[in-house]
Amino acid sequence: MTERSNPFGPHNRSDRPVWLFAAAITTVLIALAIGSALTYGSVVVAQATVSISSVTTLTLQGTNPNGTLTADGSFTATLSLTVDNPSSRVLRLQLLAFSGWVEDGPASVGLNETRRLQDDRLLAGTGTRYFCRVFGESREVAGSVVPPASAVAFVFPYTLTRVVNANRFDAVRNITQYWASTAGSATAGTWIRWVRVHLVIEGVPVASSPTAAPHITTIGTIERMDGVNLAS
Amino acid sequence: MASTLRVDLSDRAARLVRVALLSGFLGLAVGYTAFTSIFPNVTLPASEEPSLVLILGVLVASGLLAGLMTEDVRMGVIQVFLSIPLGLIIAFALALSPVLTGFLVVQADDIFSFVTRLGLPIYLIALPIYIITVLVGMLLRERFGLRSRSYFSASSTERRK
Repeated sequence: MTERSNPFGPHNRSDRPVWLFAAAITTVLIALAIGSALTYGSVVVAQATVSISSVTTLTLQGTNPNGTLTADGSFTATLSLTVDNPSSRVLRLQLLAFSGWVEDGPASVGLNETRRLQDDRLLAGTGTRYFCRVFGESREVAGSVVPPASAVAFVFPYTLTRVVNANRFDAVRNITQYWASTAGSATAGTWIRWVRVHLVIEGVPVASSPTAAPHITTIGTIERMDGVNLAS
Repeated sequence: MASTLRVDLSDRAARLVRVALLSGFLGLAVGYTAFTSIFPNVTLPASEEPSLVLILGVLVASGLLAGLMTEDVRMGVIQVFLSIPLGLIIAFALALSPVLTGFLVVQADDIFSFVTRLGLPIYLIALPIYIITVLVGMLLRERFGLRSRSYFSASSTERRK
């Protein structure tokens, strides 16, 4: 501390160094506050602007001449998922849930009462349409990164064979046979998909405590959905 | 007479400026700690959950510093009480800052109630911490004989008389 000339004793000192130190602390606090606001703002922008779009391509392998599935064939839905990230944050794909339904023609016309009871339904203007769930999967996706200010497309194939699920595969075979005979194409039945994606915002620590406030646990993740969920 | 009045007014103005500066300093610390306690994982430094060490460290250090610069108890208490609403305003401004980017999906009054409600523990603990640390700071100020510039200039004037 600076010793000043002082008529009231040698112990009185100027508080100027304390003010200078306080000014330095104030600068640090302002920098931390602005940095926090920028970080928070970038997360809010990511939460508000990130969008997804999805397209599925259906492929039948191992088919008869009329296009229907053989017993050792396979039904593949290739999901092309595009994540558009206009924000300045790096995103990481964490969880992907995918469901796909094909319109159950035989059940709709009353040829298969068992499936008619099990199918998911879509209430249309003219009546109820029946859809057989072909895929219903949820999985963790590791290493899929979406850089800032970019759109990245990911491809996820989902394959159904008799080995994977015999009951479901037989149902799909039956449905493709129905559409091939009535509409001329095995894949003529309406296909409905639903995708749910969990994206993690990089650099945002995830609260692991069960007592953490809900907004702390959710602010670092982005959830997006696309398509129609017939199961809900 | 006129010069005495002028000196008195300028002294009063200097005290008001000092109170305003110190209230702002304490309010900044309250606002920052309240914001970091509400959004610990998206602030600087980021952590999974609010850091008690960081919050108490900032509040205690700023209270002590403010005490070292405070001249009397009355002013100290006033600036402590002023710092709480100032801190609330600063925390609200920080929470509202994404509006500058054009992306604010929540209403401003919802954010205000959010910041008030979730920051309440900070506002409540800041008050006693500040009162204690400002008083401790003032004791240290007396111990080290710290005096403001106006004190020295007033002393010199009195000496000249």
